Amino acid sequence: MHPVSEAETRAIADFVVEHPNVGIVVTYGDADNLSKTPEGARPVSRRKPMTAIDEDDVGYYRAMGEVYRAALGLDKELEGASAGGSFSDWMYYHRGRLSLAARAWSPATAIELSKAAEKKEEPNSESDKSGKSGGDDDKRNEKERKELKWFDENAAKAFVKWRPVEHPDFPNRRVEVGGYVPFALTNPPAAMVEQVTAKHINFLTTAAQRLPRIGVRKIETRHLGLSVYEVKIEVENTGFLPTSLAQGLTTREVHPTRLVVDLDDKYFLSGARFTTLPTIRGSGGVVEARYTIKAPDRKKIGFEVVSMLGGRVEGTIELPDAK
Amino acid sequence: MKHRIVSKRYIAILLCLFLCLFALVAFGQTSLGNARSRKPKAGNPARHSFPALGISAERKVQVAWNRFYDHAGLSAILSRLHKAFPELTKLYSIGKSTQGRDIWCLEVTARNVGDPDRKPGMYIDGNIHGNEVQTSETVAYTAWYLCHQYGQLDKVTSLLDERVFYLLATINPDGRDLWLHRGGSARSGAEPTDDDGDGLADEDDSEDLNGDGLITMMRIKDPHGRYKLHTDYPEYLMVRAEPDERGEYSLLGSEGIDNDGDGRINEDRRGGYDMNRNWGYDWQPNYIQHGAMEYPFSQPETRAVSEFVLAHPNIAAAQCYHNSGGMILRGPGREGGAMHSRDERVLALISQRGETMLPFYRSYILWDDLYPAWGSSLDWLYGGRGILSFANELWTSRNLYRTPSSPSDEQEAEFMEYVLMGEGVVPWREYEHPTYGTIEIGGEKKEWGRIPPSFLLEEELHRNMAFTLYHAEMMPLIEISDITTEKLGENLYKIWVTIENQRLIPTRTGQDVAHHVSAPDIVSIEGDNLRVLSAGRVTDRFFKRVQAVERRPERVELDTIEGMSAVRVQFIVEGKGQFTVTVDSTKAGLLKKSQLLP
Ligand SMILES: [Zn+2]
Repeated sequence: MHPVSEAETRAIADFVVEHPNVGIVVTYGDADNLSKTPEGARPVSRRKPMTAIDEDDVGYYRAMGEVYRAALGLDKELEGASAGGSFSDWMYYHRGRLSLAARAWSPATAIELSKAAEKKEEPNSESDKSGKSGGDDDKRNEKERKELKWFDENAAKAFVKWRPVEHPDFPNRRVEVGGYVPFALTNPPAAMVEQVTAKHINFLTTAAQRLPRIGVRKIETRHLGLSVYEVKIEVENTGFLPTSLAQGLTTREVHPTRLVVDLDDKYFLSGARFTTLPTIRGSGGVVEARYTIKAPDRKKIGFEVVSMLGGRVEGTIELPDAK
Repeated sequence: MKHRIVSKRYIAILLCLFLCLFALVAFGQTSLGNARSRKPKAGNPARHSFPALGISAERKVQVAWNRFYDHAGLSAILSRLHKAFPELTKLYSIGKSTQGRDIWCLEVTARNVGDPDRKPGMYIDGNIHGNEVQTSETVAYTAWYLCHQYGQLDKVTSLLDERVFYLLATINPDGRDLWLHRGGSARSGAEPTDDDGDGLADEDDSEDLNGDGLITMMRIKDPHGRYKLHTDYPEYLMVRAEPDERGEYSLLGSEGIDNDGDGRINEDRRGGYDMNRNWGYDWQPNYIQHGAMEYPFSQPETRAVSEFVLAHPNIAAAQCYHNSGGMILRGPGREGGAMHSRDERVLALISQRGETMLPFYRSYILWDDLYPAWGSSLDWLYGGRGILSFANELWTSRNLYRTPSSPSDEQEAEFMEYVLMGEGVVPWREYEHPTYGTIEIGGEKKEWGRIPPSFLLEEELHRNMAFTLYHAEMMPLIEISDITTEKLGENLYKIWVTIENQRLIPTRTGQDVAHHVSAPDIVSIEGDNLRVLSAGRVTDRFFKRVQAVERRPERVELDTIEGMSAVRVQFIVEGKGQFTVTVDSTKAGLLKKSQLLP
């Protein structure tokens, strides 16, 4: 009836709203942005709905696509697919998360994998494509013919031969029933399920390792004189993804990383108890927070760094003795 | 209990007699000069009152319409109306708010005339923005008025005989109670949200620092401030200093402190979203449409209303009251949003009538004349359900002096000074603020600006109701006005059925037809000894052209019956005896008419 009208979609929506720490989403369904890197574009305006992925985020999609294809054993990009009004699109466009979509299995992938396997077996047969379609320049229904051929060779039961039947609505007319078995085009033949699943598990576990991970790289303190100290905290991201995608910033759904020092505001001569940090890029990106403080009556000051997607770490500032 | 009352009364009578005797004696002893001490009888003035035009003499339920009622107060009014008018009302909850308050619907219709569920329905809500309080009184007044005038005025009697009203006085009871009991920002619902992205929700709201029961404004004497007191109205107005002039004050926003120690004041108030941006048509997320919340109909209040509307497909028109500005708003909410030209024509006609009924109100298209808004109730009611809807923005300062343009700040100050006898602002008083030091707290009361003063309130309620009743009256009203039979041969007949829509709004709007929102209107025929051979809609009644249906000739589907027009349907039947024609229109009702074949 309207977006999120169904109990199922509402339950999923509520789940991700209650789990803002979700940094990567993988949806298995009709859509596919892993077989082929999606197109990016510059956002037209902050007030207009986006229709393509922010070009600054495309690189992360490309990288995850490479992980995906490597896990499946594909050596090139295949066709992608989009599905309007999907959970997957919502998670990127409205909620700013890296949202990956894949078909758990497709004939196109299966054909490509068989081809790759054949190549491996006969590394010398260069032009198996032109060889097999030799003399046949007819390109009509090329995709369907390839699929039928694959099913003939790998899962012949997936296709039921057309047979005439008597149909009450069409008396005295020739009616035939046949074609693909239901779901044959979207699910692997039973014998392949285990192998396909193993590949996806491989992909998912690798993907999970690409999440951002926040850490404290360095804490520096310097005595400036009397009871005044300078404190420098370096926060790093040792994960692969940044603490927020560009779309996470645009939508403001991924909150900035915050650094909270356990010290009353009155001790700060510069800086404040609560600091929000800019996005920290992955693979060792670092940002720094600097404070000038008047020493409190303790030598150790705790602090915490909280990143919505990159975790939460605690640290301690140890003030050196004033010499 | 009864016995005791009787005996009490008996004693009272005796006492009176005694006192009278005493008075007679006393009177005899004093001079007539003491007439000054005589007092009128303290009877019940209502027993000696005469009605002005506008409401009937007998008031079964007494309500003072020059004040505001919280959720409990509104509930009491609705429940008393239901008790006093059981044959006209049904009272039920359509769901609960975030904080668990019931969202009441009072269904008003003549329950014994026709099937209430099949009458064209007028949906009316108020107060989706919690601070826009007089909207709820407008809805409650409508219920009160309709109940009391049924049987008194022909117009109201037919309205309740022919139509059903779904009256939802407040669909944001949490916001309402917050505003009435406390004040401050209460446009939102009550779900805590993290407005400032610090991982905490609603941790820094405004507060009543000086304990005067009101949340007003803070200012500080400041040689670098850019504001100063108005020369003529220093108690009422602050103005910007001239560019080359020193100011006296800085403004510090509404009363509050830095509750969470983040160096900001009142930055994460209660709620913080806008339920009128949460509807499931042309919805956009928060970064595009501020206040939209997580997804369409995410809030229990909007969700309950959407489910209610979906469960009542007979709703043919809707009004959602807001304040303020004196506007009759219609969609779409964005440039290029859904609006079929023939629907726009009908809406424009109805709101033109409104401009004459509501002095100084202006008829506006939301995105074009006010501002673009994604996912408002107007969008969903029309775009999603094909219902012709308005949102009236109640009250305009143009009504302070009844002038076509808004009065100046000075004229408003004069209104407070001379008409309100100085009411409307809280005098500025000093206060020691933990961050700012010595400041002053005061300024406009929350009741000033968006709602009328008590003596103009009843007028506001009545006029808006009158406009919405006109809107309701324009809902489709269909009738089988004629059934003509013509004998074509032995047991063979041609039957022409004429169905009229006697009002302005079509049975199905352009949006409804284009998006298959409701089922088509179905005209069908049946009879025990009847076989339908052919049927179709008459496309030219003079040349007798008919567009025959391909299958199932006993039923003809019509896209719509336009306002103030008629359609004709032809059935070719074989048979004899009685036949019955049924017209089944989701939004315009169910009609049946029987006749004998000649
Ligand atoms: Zn409003």
